[in-house]
Amino acid sequence: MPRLALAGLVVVAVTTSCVHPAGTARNLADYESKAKNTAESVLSAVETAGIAVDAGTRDRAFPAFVTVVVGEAESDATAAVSGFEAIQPPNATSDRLRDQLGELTDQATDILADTRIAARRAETSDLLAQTQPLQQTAEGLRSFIAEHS
Amino acid sequence: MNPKRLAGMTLGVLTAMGGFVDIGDIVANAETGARFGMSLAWVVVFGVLGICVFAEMAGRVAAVSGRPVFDLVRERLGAKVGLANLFASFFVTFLTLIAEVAGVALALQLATDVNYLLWIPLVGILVWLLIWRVRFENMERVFGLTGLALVVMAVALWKLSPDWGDLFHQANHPAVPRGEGRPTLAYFGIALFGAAMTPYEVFFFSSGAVEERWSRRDLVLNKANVFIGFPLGGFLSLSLMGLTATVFKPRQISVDHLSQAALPTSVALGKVGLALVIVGIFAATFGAALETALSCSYTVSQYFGWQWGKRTAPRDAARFHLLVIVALLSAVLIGLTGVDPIMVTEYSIVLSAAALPLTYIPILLVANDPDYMGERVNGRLSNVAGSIYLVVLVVVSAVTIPLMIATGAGS
Repeated sequence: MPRLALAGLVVVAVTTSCVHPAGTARNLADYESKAKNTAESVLSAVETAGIAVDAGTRDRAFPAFVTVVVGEAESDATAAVSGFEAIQPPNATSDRLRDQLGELTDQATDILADTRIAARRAETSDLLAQTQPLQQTAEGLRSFIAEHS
Repeated sequence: MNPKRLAGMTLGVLTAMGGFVDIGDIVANAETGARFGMSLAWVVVFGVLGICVFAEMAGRVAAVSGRPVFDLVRERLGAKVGLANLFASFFVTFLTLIAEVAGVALALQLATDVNYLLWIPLVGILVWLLIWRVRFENMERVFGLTGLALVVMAVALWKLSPDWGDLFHQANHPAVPRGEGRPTLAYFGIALFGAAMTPYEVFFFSSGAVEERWSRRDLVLNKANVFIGFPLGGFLSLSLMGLTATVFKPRQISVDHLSQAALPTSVALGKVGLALVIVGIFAATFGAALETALSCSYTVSQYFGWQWGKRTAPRDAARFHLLVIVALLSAVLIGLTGVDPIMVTEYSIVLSAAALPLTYIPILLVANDPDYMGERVNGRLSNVAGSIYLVVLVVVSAVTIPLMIATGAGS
């Protein structure tokens, strides 16, 4: 029986470690740390899409491949944003932080969606048009991360 | 070396391509390079040496005794220890099978943009058909040699002209990057080690040696297979780590998808490089799917003393072949639930690390037993190396689960 209980405990511990709950933020510092992590995830998605777009527009990658990479980047960004949005801001200062990040992430997910549409249509000019907005969004996210590190 | 002997080396190449460079290794190396640069390159080198030490023992045991390792585990260590070994090994190998089947489907998605879930059933059928119809040697040659297309990753790294001095400095002076903690670094180190020493590699290698009817005359072939195949796999792993360290780390990109592992090669070499890396990933993951599907059945059949082997006609080894089908079907069904294949991969390699001693302690014991090995028991060097690795394996096994919990699985 003790062995069974121990095995059960290990299973529970491992299972719970696999889950990334939205959870709550205890204070502003905790909330800020979660905001920074979210910005990092979105930045990773934006930068990945940027590399794929660059390869696609310079005829260095197949359209199907670019579509897959950009589609996955968009899903990652959307998942990171929705995870953060589910967290309750602990006070009024964190409300402002939430708005600040929300503006950046909304912009990022919109651009990623536009990029995915252009990639799926295999229209190089439309894809090329996304290069600058992707770079600007990445810069905005990078500044946010630096500001809150 | 005559052409027949040279052709015999494909077992090592397939084991390295499908076993060492499988989806677990691709994901772990790409992710580590992007997050930690080359700081954990030494773990890959250490893992390659470890798998060489134990795969050589397993191949020698198979060549001398004519029996694969798992066949001897129950006989040498008793039914209870053997059963514990079987449970752990089967679970980890089955988890890896799910990841590999999904990995093949993901590789097909990269080439076609057709959702990987639609490919999974087809992949399951193809794996089964190949196991059922294609000769063991042909299977090795086709997938082992096609997997060599992954050499394109090394060419891509060279073409990118990275700051080699900086990459070597990162490898020689491992450091925790800003924003990362030591426990997370240790967790990724364990994941790399688990990916390098995945237990099914030795099950497949030793069972494959029996399938190929190795004898004492093949001991040189065993050494050549091990000491060429696995280091080649390690070289490719380090190339991938170097690629993501060069392209992704400066841009703060984290690797969460198989597609990202192919992206740097596309940047460096264009469409030809991308096509080769996708073919290589397909071949390596397909080879690993064949290996893990067979290994699931090898372990169970060998433990229970059933008739086993791909060479054996299905009517003579019905339970062995049925188990391959059941394992594959279950992997396909679990894959179709939409479970994240990369997450399954990450957990399979980390849990592999936790189960490592159960696989490797029996190999060391059997390889030292003169009743089985005669004068071919381990030499001093093998025993010293094997013992050092066993200590490391036990420590790694003990800290894996606590580290997984403490770091939120490296997140």
